[in-house]
Amino acid sequence: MQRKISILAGAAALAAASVSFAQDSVIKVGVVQPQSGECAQWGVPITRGVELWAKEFNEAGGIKDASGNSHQIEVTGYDNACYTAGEELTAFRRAILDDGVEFILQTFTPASRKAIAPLATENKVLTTSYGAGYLSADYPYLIGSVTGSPASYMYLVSYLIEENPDIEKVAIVTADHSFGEAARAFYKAGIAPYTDRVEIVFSDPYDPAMAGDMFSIAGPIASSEPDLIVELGFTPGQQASFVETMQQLGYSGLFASEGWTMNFLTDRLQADYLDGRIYSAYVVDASEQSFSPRVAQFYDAYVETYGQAEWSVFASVAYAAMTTIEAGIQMAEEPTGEAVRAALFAEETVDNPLFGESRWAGSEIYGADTHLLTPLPVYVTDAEGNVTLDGIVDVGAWWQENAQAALTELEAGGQVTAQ
Amino acid sequence: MQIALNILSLTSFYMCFALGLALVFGVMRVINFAHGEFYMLGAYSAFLCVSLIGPTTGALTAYIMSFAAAAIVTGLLGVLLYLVVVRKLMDKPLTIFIATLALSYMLQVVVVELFGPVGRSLPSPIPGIVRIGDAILPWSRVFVIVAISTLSVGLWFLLMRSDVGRRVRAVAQNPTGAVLQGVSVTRVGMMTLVAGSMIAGVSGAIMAPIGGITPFMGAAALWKAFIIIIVGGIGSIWGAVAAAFLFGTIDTFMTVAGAGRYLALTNAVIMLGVLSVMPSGLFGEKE
Amino acid sequence: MQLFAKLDSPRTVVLDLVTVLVVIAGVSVLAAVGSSYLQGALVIFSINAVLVISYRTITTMGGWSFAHVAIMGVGGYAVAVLSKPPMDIPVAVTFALGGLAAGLVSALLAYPVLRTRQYYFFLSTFAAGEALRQCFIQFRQLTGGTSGIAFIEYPAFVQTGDTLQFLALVLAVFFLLGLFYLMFDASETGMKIRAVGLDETLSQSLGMNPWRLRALSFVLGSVGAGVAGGLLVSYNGIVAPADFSPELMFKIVAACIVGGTRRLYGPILGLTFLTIVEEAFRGVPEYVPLVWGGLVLAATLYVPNGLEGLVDRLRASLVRRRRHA
Repeated sequence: MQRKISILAGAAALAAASVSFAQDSVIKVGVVQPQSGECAQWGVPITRGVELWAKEFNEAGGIKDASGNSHQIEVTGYDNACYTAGEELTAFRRAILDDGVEFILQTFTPASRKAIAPLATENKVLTTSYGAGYLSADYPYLIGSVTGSPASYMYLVSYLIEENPDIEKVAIVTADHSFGEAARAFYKAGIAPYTDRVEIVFSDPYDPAMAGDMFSIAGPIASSEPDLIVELGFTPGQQASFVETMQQLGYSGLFASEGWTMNFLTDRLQADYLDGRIYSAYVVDASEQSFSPRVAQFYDAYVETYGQAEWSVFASVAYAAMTTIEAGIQMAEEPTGEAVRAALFAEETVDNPLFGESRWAGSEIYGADTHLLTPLPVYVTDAEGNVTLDGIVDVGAWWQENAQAALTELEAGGQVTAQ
Repeated sequence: MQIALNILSLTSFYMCFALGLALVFGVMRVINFAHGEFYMLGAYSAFLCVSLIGPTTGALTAYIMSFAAAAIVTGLLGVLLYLVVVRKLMDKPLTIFIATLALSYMLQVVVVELFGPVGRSLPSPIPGIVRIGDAILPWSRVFVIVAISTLSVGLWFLLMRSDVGRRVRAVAQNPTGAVLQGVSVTRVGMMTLVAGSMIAGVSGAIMAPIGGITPFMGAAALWKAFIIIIVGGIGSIWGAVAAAFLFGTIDTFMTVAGAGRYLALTNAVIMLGVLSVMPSGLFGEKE
Repeated sequence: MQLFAKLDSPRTVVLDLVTVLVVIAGVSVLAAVGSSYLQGALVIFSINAVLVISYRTITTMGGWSFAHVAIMGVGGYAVAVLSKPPMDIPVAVTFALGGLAAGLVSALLAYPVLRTRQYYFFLSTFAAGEALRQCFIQFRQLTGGTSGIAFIEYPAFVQTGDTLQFLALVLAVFFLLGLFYLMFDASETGMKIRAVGLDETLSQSLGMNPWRLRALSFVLGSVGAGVAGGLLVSYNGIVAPADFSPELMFKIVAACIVGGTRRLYGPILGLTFLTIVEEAFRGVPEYVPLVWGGLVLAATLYVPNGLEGLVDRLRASLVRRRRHA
């Protein structure tokens, strides 16, 4: 009788212990993005991307850290009033001080990153972005999860120049705001190593408010007769309008940007014009199914939940940015900002679940190696308006070879903050 | 030549949303901040019309019909706006400004909930371009120029030659006098607001194929409209036309010359400059 | 002297003083018991309170300026630029300099802008505000362009990162400026300015110089905005053009319309109301504009004399009840 009771007691104790194991801390993740207003068209897909990333783990029982504990992930979105620096700080204060968030995905906009750098570092909240934007040795809790923007512009334009030797003239079409300025500098940096055979024939920024009237903007660009147009700053509708106008003005070269909303383009332009002309590169585009099965599944989940019309490449960009954090959590003893950071920087490289082995870099630009240089898939549109994989840029190798030339342009464009 | 066409295109683009605002402001001294959202709703009406009816009747027919749809939707909203808000706050223009601003925020959220934040695209039902010399102009732009000119001329005739128009002008020039003449200020006020709203809606439908349709297209357009009616002067439709032309020209030249980044600053300085010298705007009436 | 008969009695000075003290007391109590986040929110609220009472001073002259927030930006940028190399002026001093800079800019703007009235006034100040904001963006060598200037410090006597100490500083500034504005309002010059606001032609015929009085009110209000801007920039640690948006301007105007501007407590009530709405709905940020819009719309329709009017009616009914008791 007594042995039975003690066996029962032992079993009960074991059961109790395993229950308490399963009820470990919830990992709180914050996404600071525009949740309302005009910029919500980017902020909402980004927030959704992170939510779906968390959902994948939560439905499988949670994400496991190196100690073997599983954690549920709780994602909360915070509004930063269309990338206003002061509001970014307020959002971070809410997230960190009120809600106890330990990991935050934010914009790469340098002003916004600078605004929160001291707060995040003080509170050991690992703050990442889908790009670098601003990093510093003084603020080690600011990292860049993936190559992302604005660096991707540099790699995209250099890839196109290398793959298409008949490109001799490039037009840089960017808006006069901080994203546009950064893009302009990085586009120029990507062209810098090829100045012996490539010329920049247009690089005047336009007033974003004027983008409603495409003619005035497109006219001078067409007159400069480029072979390749690289852009950043048009909204999806304006992009389509721009391509249409350029076609009407007789342009027959290539277009490149971080992303295109394809159904807007296919609405207005014939397939034979679009075929092989529209290039994009921005971390990863989940609507392209061959690069990564996991990302393709994410696309299906997104479209199922929100509908095809709501798809935006920014969702997969955010999803991919979180995979670096995911790798860090899985390598850390406990899912705190401090432990995950230590785990991520234990080696010079991180094995990212989507992109493979990637190296920490950034010291030449930012003074700290806190930017994970993941390989960059480049996409092109086919005749059906679908995005296909054109190639993958070995970002690390390009930077090693061309950093000197690129850095001059980056410095001139005010993008270098390393002392 | 191309520049001239660009100027014409841009001017008509600006006139689109400035016209209705100028009318309402001129007659009732009321700033309808939701004017931009009526414009936006007109564009969405066009999109819905073409998407839903287009497959049956053909895109162009559906598009023309959508003007009626846009006018009805925004006309009804105008009536509602007048009855609920404007009539109650007639003597407090600032309060109307804030009330319509509040309304515009609400409308934006509603549209985001209905159609999503990303926006829609409406390809032009009149594709192709026309060549004039070595300059080109898409047919969709030609349509805009023609449509807006027709609208403006029609409005002018209505105001100058019709009975209704005379009453509207009476209220605009001297509300007390108008009342003494037996003109119902409330009825004129409502008609004006409804007309202004309808013009906004139809303009939205006209412009929808050009820029893309987003829930926030109205807000972006509204600032430009303000600048135009300030410089043009209160109470003057022709002032608004002149100001639209002025800015159409300046903006085109600056963008073509590559000085596009200084546009906003230049516009603001011009506005300040005009007001310093002519406090009632170019063609405005003295208060 | 029919004109002066319309103005308030000196008893209202006491009312305004009580308002200032109640705000300080209320904020202090909340800060003492609240979380770190709440303390930060109270700093922002208190800075907005300075903005809103300085705005009210401008409205007393009959004009509703839409340049107030842009002028606040002048103060902010002044602090940012002056507190960094090569000027390296102590932050606390730059607050005052920011206020002066804002006053100077508003004095310059007064020439084109104060010749206009009513609708033209608020439209021309909107133009001026836009022009200023564009200057912040385009003179990038000085202002850092759209990225702005980062890593601005707290004043030397406030420990970096100590929100409570910074809040105490903001409340002290609010007290001083509040005192100044209420005394100015009650003074003879203040009464003359309100007279001009009520009826300009009559005031002119009585020998007052409307233009000078309006300019004075405009400049004094702008100085307050400049100081508020400097405080905000030091607290956030960063200045960028986007922080001085039309949205913030609308919020100030809405606070004054919803709350009323007859006395000092009107705008404060309006600001409190709007701030509570924003904080209460921050869990669903995509609906905040809807709720904000709905409540402001309802307030303009059903509370036409502002929350002040409600308070007045409440007081009146209490007085009546006491009389009948």
